[in-house]
Amino acid sequence: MPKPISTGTVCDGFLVGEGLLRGGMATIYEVTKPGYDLPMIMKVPHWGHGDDAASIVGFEVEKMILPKLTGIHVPRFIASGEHDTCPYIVMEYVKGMSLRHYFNVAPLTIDQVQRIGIKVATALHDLHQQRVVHMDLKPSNIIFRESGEACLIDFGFSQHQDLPDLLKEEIHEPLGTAPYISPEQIFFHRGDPRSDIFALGAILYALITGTRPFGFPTSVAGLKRRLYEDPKPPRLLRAETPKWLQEIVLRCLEVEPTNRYGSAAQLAFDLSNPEQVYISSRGKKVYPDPWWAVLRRRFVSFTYEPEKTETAQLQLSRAPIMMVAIDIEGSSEDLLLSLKESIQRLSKEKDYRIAIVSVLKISRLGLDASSDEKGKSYHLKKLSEIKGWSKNLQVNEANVTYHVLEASDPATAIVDYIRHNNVDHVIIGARGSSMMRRFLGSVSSRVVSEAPCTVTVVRTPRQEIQSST
Amino acid sequence: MKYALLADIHSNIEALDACLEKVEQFNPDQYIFLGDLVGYGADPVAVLNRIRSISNRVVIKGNHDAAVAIAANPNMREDVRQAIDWTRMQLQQSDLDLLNQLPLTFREGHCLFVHANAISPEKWSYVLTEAEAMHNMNAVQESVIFCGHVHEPKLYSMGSNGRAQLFIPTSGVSIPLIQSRKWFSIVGSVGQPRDKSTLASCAVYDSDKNQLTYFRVIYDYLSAADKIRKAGLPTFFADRLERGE
Repeated sequence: MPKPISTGTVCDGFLVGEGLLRGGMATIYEVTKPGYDLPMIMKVPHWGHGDDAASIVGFEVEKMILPKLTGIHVPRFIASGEHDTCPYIVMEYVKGMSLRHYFNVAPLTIDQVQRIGIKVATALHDLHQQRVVHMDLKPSNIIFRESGEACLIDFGFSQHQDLPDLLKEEIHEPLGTAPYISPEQIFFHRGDPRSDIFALGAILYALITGTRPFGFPTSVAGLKRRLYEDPKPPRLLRAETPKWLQEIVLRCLEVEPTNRYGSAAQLAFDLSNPEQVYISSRGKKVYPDPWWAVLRRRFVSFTYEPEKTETAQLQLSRAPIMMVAIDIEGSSEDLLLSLKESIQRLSKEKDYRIAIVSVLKISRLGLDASSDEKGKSYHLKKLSEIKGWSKNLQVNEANVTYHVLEASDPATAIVDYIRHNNVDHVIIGARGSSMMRRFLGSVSSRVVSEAPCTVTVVRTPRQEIQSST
Repeated sequence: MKYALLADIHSNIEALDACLEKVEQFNPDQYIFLGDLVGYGADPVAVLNRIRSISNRVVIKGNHDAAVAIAANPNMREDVRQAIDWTRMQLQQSDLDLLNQLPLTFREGHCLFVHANAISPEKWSYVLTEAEAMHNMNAVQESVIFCGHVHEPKLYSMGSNGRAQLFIPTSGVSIPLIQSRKWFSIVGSVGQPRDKSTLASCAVYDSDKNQLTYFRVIYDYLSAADKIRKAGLPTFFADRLERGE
């Protein structure tokens, strides 16, 4: 029989302190142990006669997944206790404000929604890169650390693609939380990272408008309404909602995963670059779809079968963010052509994103004149250059963004950009191999050595000959 | 206790050496050979000598070992029987005695080690479905069963609902075998992989931490296949190594 745990008991050396929260499935206690100086909590499941299997298995799932997770966006795993003797999980006590708090005071300012969205999407991408899909993202499962980062908690419904999915056998009703659950989860599909993107879309919608996009249904039939009833456009509920933000949120809430963002990193990217978000009819609409369109979708929904679920790893590999680092003035025509060919070869995936980036070199002291003699800002000139160059790239315009970085050290600026935007693949031209470059080190060689991702260095076939003559 | 788990070596010394090199990185306390040391491959003597050189070993009997030591099962296919007879010719009486004396099972702590199945090990029937895995898990006290015989790495688990669920493991990722469930692990084949991969299989289990890690290991399968052909054994067994099926 499991040993009862309550305030004052000692379990495997952990002194159980105050109860912090009594939830439906578990009680959370603060705990201490000699030798451990970080704040810790103990999660103790409520098990007894008549407990539903999903809650027991959910505890087992969290016990399997949490020790695998690392980084600032998850609580640190400390220890776990065995089922027969004393079932518990001890983890870091993440102190900070829960998103639930912001949710209670919604609607928030557009700036606040944007900042929260970027933080949560960044945390989600980090989780997905660890091959885990949360499957129950909701305001109370997101805590903002005192240092600002979003931390995701409660992995009881999660799926790790390299561990047995214990819940698969236990599902008799949709697992998730009604306002945020994705359409495919209603049909028991588990493990697609885009399910979490749907949930984040529902959270952002509520933060913008103060209302949940699909209400709080209590039956499976009620949950299924999201298959055919489109949420009221945020611009209808709150007129000052920018089109770019509505575009982003409604894209997250698409019924088919394939119509959502391919990765949470791409979502964070759009939230960080609102002026470059491609506005489709989603962003422009002011009224919900007409009744006949909803009725038609309702009929179609009777035979709805979610598309095949992708694993986190496969889906992320299909949705790369590529960065093209380019210096048009300093590159030969041949190199510019080779760069274009490389982009076309590498942008075969449907969900790719391309950021075309150029660096405007400024002096270290920042004393450059910001305009040339014609009064045209160097920045805009550079932007026009890269946009002009990209005209016949033959890639989907909606997937391309343009950026000019101002920096004294181009290589550092490019590497910082890569880190900040979770870039998966950089394409950069090698402008030559002169003695001077070999001696000083080129931008591309520094990017190759310092970038935390794949780097393709493009050379033209005749580059070596040209540069040596 | 840290166990190195090696099954279905089938006289493939190249694969065995590659797997031993892999598991040695984890400093195992005990090497468990889950049966079928011989059969199919061209290096039965080298394989037996290598296993003999490991002092902290437990070796379980497999159906091919029994067939070589005593007599081929009449139900065996003709080419398999041919390989059994060839193997017997290569071995000394001391080797045959060793194979004949191997136990069918080994039990330690919460673990049961067996070649084919836990219900009737001597009958060599295969565990191929979730239902068969469930019957096996229900048949014994131990919470974790390790076996070979089926040449594909698999892991079945069974929770409170009594249904077994299949999982195909990822190489190199440790899986916590939580104690509230029962587990049935097929560790895959060292020397005759058959899941369309030419990589050898092995595993390491840490019974203190309840962590099981499967590995797929690159080895020189072309040389192993070449030796089978040169030995005059049925070429099908060489082709199989090259196709991984």
